[in-house]
Formats: sequence, structure tokens, C-alpha cells
Amino acid sequence: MAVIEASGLTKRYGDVAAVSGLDLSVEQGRIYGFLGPNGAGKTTTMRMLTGLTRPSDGSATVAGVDVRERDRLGAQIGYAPDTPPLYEKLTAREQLSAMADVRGLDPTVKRERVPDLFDRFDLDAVDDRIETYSTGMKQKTSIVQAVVHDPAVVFLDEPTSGLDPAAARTTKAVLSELRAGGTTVFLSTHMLPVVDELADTVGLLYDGELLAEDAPEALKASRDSETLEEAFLELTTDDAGGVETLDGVSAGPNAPADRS
Amino acid sequence: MQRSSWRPVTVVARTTLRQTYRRVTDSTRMTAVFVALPVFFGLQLAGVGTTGAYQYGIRLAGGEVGVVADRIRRAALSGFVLLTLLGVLGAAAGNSEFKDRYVAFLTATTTGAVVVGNAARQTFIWTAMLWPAALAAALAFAIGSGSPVAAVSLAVGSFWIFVVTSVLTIPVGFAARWVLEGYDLSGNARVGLGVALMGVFYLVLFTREQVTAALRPTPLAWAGDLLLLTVPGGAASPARAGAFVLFTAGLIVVAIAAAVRLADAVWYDDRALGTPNAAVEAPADEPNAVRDALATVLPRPTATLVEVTWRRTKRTPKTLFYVYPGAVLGLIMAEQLVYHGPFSAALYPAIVAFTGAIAIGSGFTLNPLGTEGDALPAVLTSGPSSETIVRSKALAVVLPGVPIVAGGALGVGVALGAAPPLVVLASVAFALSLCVLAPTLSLALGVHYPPDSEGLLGGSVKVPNKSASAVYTAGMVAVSVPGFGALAEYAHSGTLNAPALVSGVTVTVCLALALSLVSYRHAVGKFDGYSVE
Repeated sequence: MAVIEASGLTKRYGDVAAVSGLDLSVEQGRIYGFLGPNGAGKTTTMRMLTGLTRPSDGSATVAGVDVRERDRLGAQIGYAPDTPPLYEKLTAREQLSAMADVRGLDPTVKRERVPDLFDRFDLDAVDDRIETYSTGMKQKTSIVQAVVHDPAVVFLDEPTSGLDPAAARTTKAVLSELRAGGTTVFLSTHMLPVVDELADTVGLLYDGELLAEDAPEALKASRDSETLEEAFLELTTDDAGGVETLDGVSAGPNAPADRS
Repeated sequence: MQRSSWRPVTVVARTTLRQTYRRVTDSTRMTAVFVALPVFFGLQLAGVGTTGAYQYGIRLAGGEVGVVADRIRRAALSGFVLLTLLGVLGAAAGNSEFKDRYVAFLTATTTGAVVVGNAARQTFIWTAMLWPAALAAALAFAIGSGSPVAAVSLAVGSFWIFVVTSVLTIPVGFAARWVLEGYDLSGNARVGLGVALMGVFYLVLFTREQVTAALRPTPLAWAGDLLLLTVPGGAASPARAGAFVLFTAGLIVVAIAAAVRLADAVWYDDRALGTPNAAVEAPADEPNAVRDALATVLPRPTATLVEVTWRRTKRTPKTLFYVYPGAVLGLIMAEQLVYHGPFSAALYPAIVAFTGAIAIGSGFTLNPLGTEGDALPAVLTSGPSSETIVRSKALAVVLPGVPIVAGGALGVGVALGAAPPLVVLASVAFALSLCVLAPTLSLALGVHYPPDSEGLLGGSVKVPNKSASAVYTAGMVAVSVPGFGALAEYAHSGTLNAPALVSGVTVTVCLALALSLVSYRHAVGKFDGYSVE
């Protein structure tokens, strides 16, 4: 069952289309790796799917909720953008406590889950103010905040950025656990090995359009590449063909006219 | 100092002045302020629409030499003190923190050159903004007295006073920072210092007659001789005028030397480069008593947002940047209208209500999106409706604000016993309605600032936008006029006209409640439609 569905999702800023005609379908309980070079429109797409940015055109639903209904959408999602959305003057404990209460989490559940997440993410300065945290600690706090309420879908924008290898490994483990628990993870990252290792499906966004979408192994195989990085580079260079759908038919601006 | 030693000083002064000039002229608002302020004060001092220098000039020509000379002496002395205090206030509030900006200079020349260069810049700006008003007064006096030469010492003397008061305050900013960082005090302490100094400033303002009298035996009183040097019949002592110049020149030298020494301590101390206060808080109360108490009467998400807003505001006092002027406005109104003015103490409750209400709405509700800072995406995607968020912010103001403002108005009215019960009750009704309007009106305006073009999301915009503050204040004033006018009428005449009083206050109450409802809905709608662009 698709938990994220987008059809013709478009965002224009003046005459510039940051995202153009995006079609997406992400199955429940999967990890979707969203790749693309800088400026491709990944963050804009995430913002549309989390209700922060209104689409110019098209439609999308997350967990059955229209992305234009932000108030209802919030209950279904967790979002950790690239800039950790934290109150710098609060401590991590205060931040998590507040967000859990704002989300209506049962206080008993909150009292168990928050310390457990701190332990799992090895957050040991939870009573220091967030403004004193390193980048990595802020990232960890942000991810914990995004998953504290056990949402249906978690959107993570560059979740391993700034994390040391141990913390990155913990994050990957948590993402796998989330998937095992039925949570859908929509993951945007430049760290291709992370996507290669974790993602069930990879979507490659380029210049606002979905250029390719497939399982990592299938994508590599289709490009005769040994690594996802090679496949990524090949698809995003000037010689790139176009969109490859799951049935292998090409489409897109540089592709043959026929499109299925 | 050799000629070559002055070159870095002039370069620093010229460069920093150019930067300031461009910053001001690039902004229409700042340019307007720089032009409007001296014009406004110049007209006041000169005597346009009020008693000023021109009228005193006429009195001098009419033979009242002693009275006029005494007035000038008192003005010189109190002006010197008030200007110094004003400068100290600004310096202690943090205006002297140059380090980040002038690293390029500090690595190219001596600390002394940078300090002196900046002192020159600050003095130039200070005198450019304020001295034209004094010059206008000097010219007006000369015209009124029919003695053009009178303007000379008035203009030159006032110029010297502005220069001295500017330089004297420069070491204060460094000293304040040195103390705050040396004792590891927080930003709250700096704000507290600024607020305390503001209180001292207005205390001196209110008691300037007594302060002036106390300073008469000191060399500072010779400022009057300097100003009166070319005023016919002013009986100025050239010796004392010269001594004043020498004395204050000495103060300048001492101030500069102190500033250089303190700059060394502040700019090159490890603490100056340190990280923000690594404040370790006590573990968050579980359960959170305040939040739990609120949750007994409010939905928990609302209670949480209110409590978090209070907690964050306590730790970021800069959010209340425009609240303090509201309180200061109350002191000014009390002094001008009642203490030295034509209204009785019966006006105090209305003043408390009016300025208190403006003050409470001048904080985070004037910048509801910006004060969320980096956390805005989390707040918007965490589930509570726009109405919940807007209501929480309004409640965060109303819950403490109403007891303070309405309670203050009531308490003042009862304590003074200067007004009939109807007047006190009317003042309280006036206060309550304005306390409801203040947060909702400021929310309705604040959601439009800063504009999307300023890249709100992910930024850290804590201080409300000046435009929002100006429009909000104007709106509060407009709504308050009928009620305040009715209460002022009683305080002026002493005769209770109950129908007029009740109708005036009722108009304000009705306007306030209606506008409050419209504002609330507008703010909710704007939050609903907020889109990161």
C-alpha cells in the first residue's frame, strides 16, 4: 500500500520550476532514498510533502492526508530538515518533552520513550542547552524529535550529515528498526553508501524532475555500474538519457519522443 | 603623536564612518530617523509650538538677563548629565562591541588607533544627530534676543558638550562587556543592566532640578559659563569657561586611555572568543509543574506551547526588546503629564493601562514566526493547528500581562486614592480591553514580518521588525484615544462627567474587542496559509 503518493507535483518560484511534474509512490514500511545534486529540488519536494511549502500544481498525500492540510498531516509525520529544527535555548530533554507534549503523546509513554531514545542515540548532554551542541549532537536530537511519536512516515533531510561514524551507524540502525516496525522513511542524502545500504527504492531527482527510480541494485545494473555513485554520475551528466521507469521505458527531456 | 601615527586613526574613522553612512542611506527608514530626530528636537528646543530658545531670547532682550542666564546654566548642566547617561545607557547595552567587525583593522594597526578611530566615528555620529538641534536653538535664541553673537558661544559650547559626552561613554561599553564576560554573566544580565540604567536615566530626568542643584558646586557647572561667553549680559566667567574646557579635555584623555586599556582586555581575552554560555540546566521537571498547572485548564498542546514560550523568553530576553520602551513610555508620560504636567494623579491608572498594554504586545507576538527560529518547521509540522499556535502565543502574553497591567492600573488607582471608584473601574476596563487587543493585534501584524523575501525559515529572527512595532503602536494609540481622552478629561478638570467618561471608555472597549477578534482570525488564517517560499 502506498503511504506517499504524488502526482504531477510542481513548485514554481516565478518562472523557475524547482520541482516539475513529480510522480512518486512510496510503499509503506520502506526506506526511500531521495538523491540528487545540489539544487535539484530535493528539499523543496520534502517541504511540499511535509506541508511546509504549498505546491504550485499537482497533488500529493502522505498517509492518506492531503499535503495541503498541514494541521492533519503533522500527526502522521516526523520531519528532520537539514537545519535541525530545535530551540537553541532549550536543552534536548526540554525540547523532546515539549514536542512530545505538543504532539499529545501519553506522558507515561513519553517518560519511557524519550530516555530510551537518548540512550540509543548516545545523547549524553541532554541537560545542556542546544546552543552548546556540536552539529552532530543537534542532528541526533533532531532525528530523535522526528521519531519520538512513532509516526507513519519520517522525512529525513541529510540525517547523517555531521555525524561521526558511530553515530551514523546508530542512525542507520534506527532507520532499519523503523522500517521493521512499519514506519516509512523518506530519506534525502548525499551519502550514497547510506542509500545503497539501506534504501529499498532510490529516486534520482535532477533539475526538478525524477530522472530515475528503482531499487539500488537494479539501478546499478541498468547503468552497468558497480556503485550507486557511478550510476548517479552517469545519469546526471550531460549525456544522461532520461527517466527510466520500472518497466525500463525511457522518458524525459533528452529521451525519445515515445513515453509509456 | 607623530603625523604617521595619526594616519591609521583617520583611516579607521573614515572607513567606519563610510560604512555607517552607507548603512543609513541604504535604508529609507534609518535615513528618515537621522533626519527626523534632529528636526523634531530642533523645533522643540528652538521654541516652535512651545517655550524654547526663541522665547528666552526675547526675554533676554526684554531685560530678564538673570533669569535667562540661570536657565541656560541649568540647561547646560542637566543636559551634560542627561547626555552622559544616555550615552552610558547605549554603551552598556552593547553598542561598543566592535571586535567581529574590525578584525581587519586590529591585525593591521594598534589597538589604540582602532579605539581612537572608532571614538571619532561615534562622536561624529553623536554630534551629527544631536548638535543640529542645539544649533537651531542657538540661532533661535540669537534671533529672539536680537544679538547674533549670542549664537556663537551657545553653538560652540553645546558642540563641545556633545563631543565630551560622546567620548566619556566609550569606555563604559567595554567595561560592561568586561564585567559581564569576566563574571560569566548571561545575556540576561546585560539586558538587566540596560534596563537598570534606563531606570537611572529616567530617575535623573524626573529629578533633574535636584540633580542640577547638587552638581552646581562642581566644575561641571562651568559648562554654563562656556555657553554664556558671548551672550550679552550673561556674566560668564572666561576663566571658568576655559577651566571647563580644560577639565573636560582631561576627561576625554582619561576616557580614551581607559577605553584603550579595556579594549585590550575585552578584545584579546579568551572569553571574548568564547562559546555562548554553556548553561547547564537542572533536569527538566518531570512532571513540569507550570505546564501541568496550565494543562488543567487548557489542552495539553496549548499548555505546552505557552510554557515553552515563557521558558524560552526567559532565556532570550532580547525577544522583549521592544517591551521595555513601552514601560519607559509610561515613565515619560507620568513625568510629562502628571508630575510636571497639568493632569492630576487620577491619570496614573490610565497611563499604566495604556503603556502597559502596548508593552506586553511588543514582544514575541510581534514576531510569532521569526521567534521560532530554526524550530519553525518542527512547530508547523508537529500537529497543533494554526489556531492552537496563535492562541498559545496570545495566552502566553495575556496570562501574565493582564494581572500586571490591569492589576497595576487597579493597584495604582486604589493606592493613590486620587480618583472616584467609577474612574478606577473605567481605568481597569480600559486596561483589560487593551490587554486583549495587544497580543492579537501584534500577532496579526507580526505574521507579516519579516517578509518572505528575508529568508525566514531556518533563520534566527528574534527581535520584532521595526515596521511591525511602529504599525502596532499606532494601532494601539488609535484605539486608546477615546478612552484615554475621557479619563484624561477627568484628571484635568477634576469634575466627574460620568456619561462622557463611560461613553469614551466604552468606545475603546468595543473597538478593542472587535479589532481583537478580527486580528485573531487574521493571524490564524495567515498561519494556515504560511508556505515556505
